[in-house]
Amino acid sequence: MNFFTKYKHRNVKSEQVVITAQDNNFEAALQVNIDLINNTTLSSEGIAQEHNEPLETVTKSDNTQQTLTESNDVLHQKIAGLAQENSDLVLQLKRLSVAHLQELEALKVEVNVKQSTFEQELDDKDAQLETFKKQIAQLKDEKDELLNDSYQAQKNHNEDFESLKKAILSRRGEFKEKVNGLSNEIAEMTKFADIFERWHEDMNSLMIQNTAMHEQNDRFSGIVRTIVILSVNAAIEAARAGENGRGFAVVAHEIRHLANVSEELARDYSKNLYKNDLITTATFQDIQAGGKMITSALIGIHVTSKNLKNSLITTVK
Amino acid sequence: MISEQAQSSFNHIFKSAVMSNFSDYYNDSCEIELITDHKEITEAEFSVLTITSSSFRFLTLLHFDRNESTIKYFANNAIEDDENTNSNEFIDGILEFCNLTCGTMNRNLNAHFTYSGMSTPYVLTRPCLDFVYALDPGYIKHFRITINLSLVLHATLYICNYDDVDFAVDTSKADESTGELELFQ
Repeated sequence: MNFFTKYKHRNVKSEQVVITAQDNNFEAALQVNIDLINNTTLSSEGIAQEHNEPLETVTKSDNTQQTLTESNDVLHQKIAGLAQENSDLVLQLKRLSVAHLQELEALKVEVNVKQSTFEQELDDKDAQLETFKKQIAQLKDEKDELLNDSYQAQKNHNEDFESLKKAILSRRGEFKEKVNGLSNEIAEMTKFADIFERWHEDMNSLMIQNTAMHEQNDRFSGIVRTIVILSVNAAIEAARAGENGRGFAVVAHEIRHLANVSEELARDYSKNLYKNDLITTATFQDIQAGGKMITSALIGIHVTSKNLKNSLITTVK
Repeated sequence: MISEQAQSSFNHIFKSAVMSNFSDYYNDSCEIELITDHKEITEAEFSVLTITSSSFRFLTLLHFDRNESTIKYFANNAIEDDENTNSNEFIDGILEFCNLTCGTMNRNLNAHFTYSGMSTPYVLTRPCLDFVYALDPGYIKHFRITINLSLVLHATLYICNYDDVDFAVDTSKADESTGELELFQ
């Protein structure tokens, strides 16, 4: 009986006074542990009660005193073991309580640090927000200023454009007249092709003339060859005539000499006619081809001037 | 001076023009060879046609004889009946061929020279050739043209340059430009 009283005095409830002052969460956890210990204590008491009744019965029986004594020792040992176990649990509970308190303090410190950090960041963000607000206000002012400038520039541009348009319109007739004049001049110049073709036709006339001169030269050469033959015959006849024909022989010799010179002259003349054919043809072909080249270029310029005239009119409109 | 690549380009333009015209308008085969001995050219007449630009003039000569095979070819077989042989048809055929060829050449040259013009062709006789030097050509090349492996003609290119001439054509591909038919009167 003394043993159970002593055991009850070691109940964990006596520790509750110290622990109650702690944080509510910890207190809840501690309450759970205390309930556990109480349950264990009640269980121990139940066990003791269960054995107490047979003990009293044994005590009353003198016959089984020895057996009861032994049984009583066993029970004492069990109760001592339970008491030791209870003591260990209380010790463990205290350690847990201390550990929980330490962790709780650490969490509080951490929460405080984070809170101060967040508050600092919040202050910084507020400062940035203020800066942005100022910048936005400044940009808005600048935008308004730019819009005003743009409006003014557009207004000036429109005025300049209208002024320029009036100036162009005032000179429109003059430009048109000049472009028309230029276009007409170019159109007139394209007729140069006719001139080049006329020159080329002249070449044909020249070549016909050259052909006639070739024929005349051929006839002249034929005559010269006949004269040579005649001069040879005259020389023969003069030789036959002997002394009487001596003077005639001299004349025949001179005629033959002149015929030879004439033949040489006719050959040179013929060569020059051929050379003339080639140079005349090449020259007039060059003129004709060059004329087509110039005409082609003028047609190109004529088209360009027409386009210029049309674009000028369109632009002014 | 006429550069090496310009000389090659002139040759290429001439050869491709001749071959494409024989192929396109006459449906005949044609071989062109460069010859070095101009004494091989013995034909009695030649047609001449000039292409002119600001820096050169380019004379193309086609040498021919009025023999049976040549007349038959260019006069569209008009010589089959001797009484109907028409010299004008033959000359017209020759000149038309020269005109077509030089027209093709001129179009190809237009790709490199903005402005150029072409004359109409004219026929001269062999003795005139002795005086080509009077034109002071800077480049001369002679070619043998064999049509359908039988009819042989000759051609000569004379280029008189008045400035440096330098251009290059793509000689790796055949000229596909045929252009419009150019006729002369």
